[in-house]
Amino acid sequence: MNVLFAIIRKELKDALRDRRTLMTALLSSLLGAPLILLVFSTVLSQVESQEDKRVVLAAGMQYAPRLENFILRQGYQIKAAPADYEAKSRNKEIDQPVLIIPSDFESKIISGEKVNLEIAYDTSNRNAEFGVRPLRRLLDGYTQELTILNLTMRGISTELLQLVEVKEHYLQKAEEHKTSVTEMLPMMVLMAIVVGGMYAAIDTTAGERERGSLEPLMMNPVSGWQLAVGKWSAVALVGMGVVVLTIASFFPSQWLIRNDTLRAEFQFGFRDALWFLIVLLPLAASVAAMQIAVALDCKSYKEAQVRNQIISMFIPFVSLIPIMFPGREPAWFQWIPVLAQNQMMNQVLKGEALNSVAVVIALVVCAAMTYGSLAYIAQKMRKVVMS
Amino acid sequence: MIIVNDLHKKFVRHDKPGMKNLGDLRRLLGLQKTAEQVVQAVNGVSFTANDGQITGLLGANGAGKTTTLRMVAALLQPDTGNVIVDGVEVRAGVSSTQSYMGVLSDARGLYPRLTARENINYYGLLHGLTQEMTAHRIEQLADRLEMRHLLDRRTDGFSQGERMKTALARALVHDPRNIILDEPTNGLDVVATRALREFLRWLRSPEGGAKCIIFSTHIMQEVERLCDDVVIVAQGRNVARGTVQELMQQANQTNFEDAFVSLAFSEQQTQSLEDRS
Repeated sequence: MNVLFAIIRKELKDALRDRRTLMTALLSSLLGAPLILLVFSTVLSQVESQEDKRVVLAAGMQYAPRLENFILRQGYQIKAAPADYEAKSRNKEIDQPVLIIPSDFESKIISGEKVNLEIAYDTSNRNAEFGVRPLRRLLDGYTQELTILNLTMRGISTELLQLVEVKEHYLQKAEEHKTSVTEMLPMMVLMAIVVGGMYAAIDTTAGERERGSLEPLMMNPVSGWQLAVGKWSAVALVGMGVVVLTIASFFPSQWLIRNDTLRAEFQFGFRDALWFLIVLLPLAASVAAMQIAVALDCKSYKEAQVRNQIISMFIPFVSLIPIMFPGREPAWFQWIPVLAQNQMMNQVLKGEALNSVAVVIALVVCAAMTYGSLAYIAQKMRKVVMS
Repeated sequence: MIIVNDLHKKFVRHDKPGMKNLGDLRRLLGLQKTAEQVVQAVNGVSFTANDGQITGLLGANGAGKTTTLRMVAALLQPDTGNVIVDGVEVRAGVSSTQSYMGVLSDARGLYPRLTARENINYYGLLHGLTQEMTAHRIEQLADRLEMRHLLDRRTDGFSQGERMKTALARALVHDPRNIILDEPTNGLDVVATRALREFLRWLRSPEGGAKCIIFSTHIMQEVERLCDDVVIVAQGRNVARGTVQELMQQANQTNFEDAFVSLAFSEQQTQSLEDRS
C-alpha cells in the first residue's frame, strides 16, 4: 500500500511540475465554456438586435408612398439610404440591408403589373444579413395586404384563397427549455476530459520510456498491478481535476453571457453541477486508463501523442451519432461511453431528471473499461522494456 | 553471489518491408512472410561472481555484455541457461530477486522534474524502505559519492557525472548485496571516473559491505585497476577467465590490451575457420 502511495505521489508531483501537462489541463478546462458562451451570446444578441431595431433603410422611398405608409403603420422608421450604400455595406459602415425601390413602382402597382423590389446586402456583412429576414417579413405583409385589397375590391372573399391554414403546434415538455447553444457545451466538456489528462498519460508511459527511466524503474520489486494502478490513479486525478475545474468554470461563465434569452436558458445551478460530476468523474477515470493503455507500448512521446490524438478525434464524432437517429433515442445509447454522458449532460442542461438506471449503466461501463485497461497495462508494463 | 550458467539469447528481427520490388509489396500485404534475421546475442556465457570481489565483464562493442547483464537483472528471459542470485533463480519480469540487486543499466534516465533527493527517495520507497530509512541512506550515499550539494537540485541539466552519481545512489539506496553496473564510466571524465573507482573499491571492502560487484566495460584500464576477476566475452561467449595476471600469462603477453585482443579475437578467428571447414 505504501508503495502504491509512493507511486501516486511521485507521478502527481511529476505531472504537476510538467508545464506542458499543466497548461493543457488548465487551458482545456478553463477556457472552453466561457469562450463558447461568450461567442454564442454575442451572436444571439446581434440577431435579436436586428429584429428589434424596427428601422428600414431604403433608397427611392419617394417612388412608393403607399408602401411607405404601410411601413410607418407597422411602427417602423424609414431612413434614406446613402447614395454609396454599396461601398458602405461592403466595409461594414452600414449594418442593415438596403431596400431599393424602382422609380416606376407606384405606376406599375396601379396598373396591376408585376414589379420587383430589391434587397441589397453584402453576404460578408453578417449584421446586415441578420436584418434581411425581418425586412422580408415586412414586405410580405405589404404584398399580402395589397392582394387582399385588390381581391376585396373585385368582390372575392379572401377566405377562398386560403382554405387550409396550417398552424405549428409545439409539443414541448413544459420544463424543457429551448436549447441550441447549450448543446455545444457537453461536447466541449468531453473534449476537455480527453485532452486534459492526455499529456499526463503520455508522460508517465512513453515519456518515461523515451527518457530511459522506465527500465531502471523495473529494477524495483514492484508488481505490474502496483505500477498500473499507481500511474493510473495519478493520471485519473489530473483528469478528474480537469472535470471539476471545467464545471466550476460554468459559474463565472454565466456572467459573460451577453444576452438575456441565453441567460434565461442557461441556468446552471449547484444541483446541475453535482449531476455533471456524477456523470463525468467516472468517465474521466476510465479515459485516463485507456490513454495510458494506448500510450504504453509506444517507443516515443511523439508516437503516443499521435495515437492519443486519433482517439480524441472520435469524441466529436460520437456526440454526432444522435443526428443519425432522429426521433426516439435507441436504448443502446446508454451503453456507449461518451455518447451516454453526452446524452445525460444534455438532459441536465434541459432541466430534465436523469434516469437512475442510465446513470448506473454508465458507471458500470466506465468501471469495466477501467478494469480492462488496467489489466492490460499490468500484464504489459514489465514486458514493454523486455525487448 | 551471482552464478551465471550457460546463458543463451537470440533476437529475431523482422525486417520492415520496403517498396523496392513486388515481393516487398506482397510482404507488406501479409501474403508472404517477412524476412527474419536471427541475431545470436549471447551464445553461452557462464561465470561466478563472488562476494567481496569486483568481477569485470570485458568485451568489444556488441560482444553480448549488456544482454548478459539484462538477463542477470531480470529484464530479459534467457532462451536457455539460468542465473542464480544468492541462491534464488532469476526470472524475468518477476520481482523476487530485485531486492538483492542494485542495477545501474545502460538506460539510466532520471526524472528531470524531480530533485536528486526525490529521485533517490522514490526508489527507496519502492524497495519498501520507510521514509526515515530512506532519508538516512540518502545522507550516507551523498557523503560517499560527494553529491550533497546536488541533492536538492532538479536533475534536469545535470552533467554526465552528476547524473551517474544520482543514478548510482538511486540503484544502491536499498543497500543491495549484489551490484551490477553496465559500462558505468561511459561519458565520465577522469575525476568522475576516479571517484567512481574509489567508491567501488569501498563497496568491495568489508567496511563497505563486501558486495558482489559485476562491472561491464570495454576499457582495459578500468579492468586492470579495479577487477579481481575478469571474464572476457566475445561473440556472445566467454572466451577466457581469470585475474589480469592470469590472463596475460594465458595469452603470453606482457601488456593487458594485447592479451585481450589475442584472447578475444584469436578465438574469433579459429571460430570462423571452424565454420568454414
